[in-house]
Amino acid sequence: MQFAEVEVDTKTGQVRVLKIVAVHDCGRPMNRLTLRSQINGGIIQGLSYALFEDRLLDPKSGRMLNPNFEKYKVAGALDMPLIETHIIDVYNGSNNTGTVGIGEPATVPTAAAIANAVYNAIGARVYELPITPARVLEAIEKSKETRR
Amino acid sequence: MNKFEYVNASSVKSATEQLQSDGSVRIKAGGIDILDELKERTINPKRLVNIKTVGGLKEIKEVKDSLHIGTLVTLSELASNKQVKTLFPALAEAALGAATPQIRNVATIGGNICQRPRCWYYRSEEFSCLKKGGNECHAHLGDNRFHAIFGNDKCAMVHPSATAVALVALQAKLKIEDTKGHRIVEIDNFFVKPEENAKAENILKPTEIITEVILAKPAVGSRNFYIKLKEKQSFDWPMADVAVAMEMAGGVCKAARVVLGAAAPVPWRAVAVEKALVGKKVDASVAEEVSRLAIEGAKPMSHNGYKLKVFETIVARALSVVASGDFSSKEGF
Repeated sequence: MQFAEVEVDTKTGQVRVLKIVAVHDCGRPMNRLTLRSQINGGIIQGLSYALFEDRLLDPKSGRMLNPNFEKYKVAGALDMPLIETHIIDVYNGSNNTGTVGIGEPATVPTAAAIANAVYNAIGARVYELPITPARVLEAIEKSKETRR
Repeated sequence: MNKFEYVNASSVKSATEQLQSDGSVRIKAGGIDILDELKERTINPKRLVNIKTVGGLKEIKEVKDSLHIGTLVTLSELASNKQVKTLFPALAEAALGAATPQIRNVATIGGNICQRPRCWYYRSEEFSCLKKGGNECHAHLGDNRFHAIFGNDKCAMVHPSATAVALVALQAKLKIEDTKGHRIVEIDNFFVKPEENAKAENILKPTEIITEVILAKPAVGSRNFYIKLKEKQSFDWPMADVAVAMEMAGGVCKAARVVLGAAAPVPWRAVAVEKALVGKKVDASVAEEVSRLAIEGAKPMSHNGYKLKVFETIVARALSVVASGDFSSKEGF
């Protein structure tokens, strides 16, 4: 389970993630340091997926427009939030070592948590990822129209 | 990448002597943009002339009432130079906001303003666009989310240089040299629109080198500032940026230059805003009122309409900062 705190600039549409709290049931932890690192890594990918990453294709020719790390946007150090991890030790006897995987699970909830936090901040839903400034501004504009 | 010769130049003269009018010999300074272009095969030069080995182009000198910035001064040096920071915060901020620390440590001011477009249709080997001798601009009917909202009828690229935006606001002059001597060009006359020449972004001939950027020290009561908005905070091209230089007397604006970046194929002056500011006592509410004029005449395309709101916002913010003189409290992100 993850929680996100975000800041949205409602005039430019920029979203900044301030903090992610990640609570994970990891079975029996074998190494707490690498486990936390794995969760941090998953959150970084999840944040990147939520806000930036997009494989862009030219609508006419179908050719990829951003096939390099200059144009394909991946989150960098300055985009990182404060990450707080909580590890819940669970021993359910499902296998002989009591271990559970944590590769993908840390990545899964991040984007949804960020999207919900954005909704909480601006009162409008962005239904598509990545949550770009253009989409945030559009969502705000639409919600103003429906309120009128 | 194709084969090419690589030569270290010992002086400006020895460098310009090697340049050819057909553009088959190219200058290399920081090598950031030229390396990308070689890899993407948008250019195929026979020879690269490295000018990093030329002495005397790396200094920031004070000459009478102006600052002469050598063409090899890096973006990092510009961003941290005390005089640049005090006199021209717009330029320091523009340099600081560009690319990554690693790139800023090698990228030069001369190279930065001469960068080729970052448009993904131009940069891709798979598209032949106007800039490369083709006959259409693919951005018009394609994905143009980061493209121009002004002057985009022929080619919809946005000028890639952030420092150029600041330099246009600061009315810089460029010293351009070739084998015959040198000429001084006002920066307003340096950049060219696609309508004038679709294949180049400026008037620099293949046989010429920019050797200096010259900035007159601002008059008393003048202030300048620059704001850049990016989607990402680490290494990203701007969605929109703006540089403002304002001459003030008793809080009243006497003259102003407002220049938009990532808006058009050249650094784009918001002339309507400049005119509206003159004679006004600028505060936050005036800034917001005149900022609406920044998008006058804009022609957004299918994917870049969001830029209108974004430009209005950053113009208002930049004007507020300049009017208040408090450069520390940067609004927003």
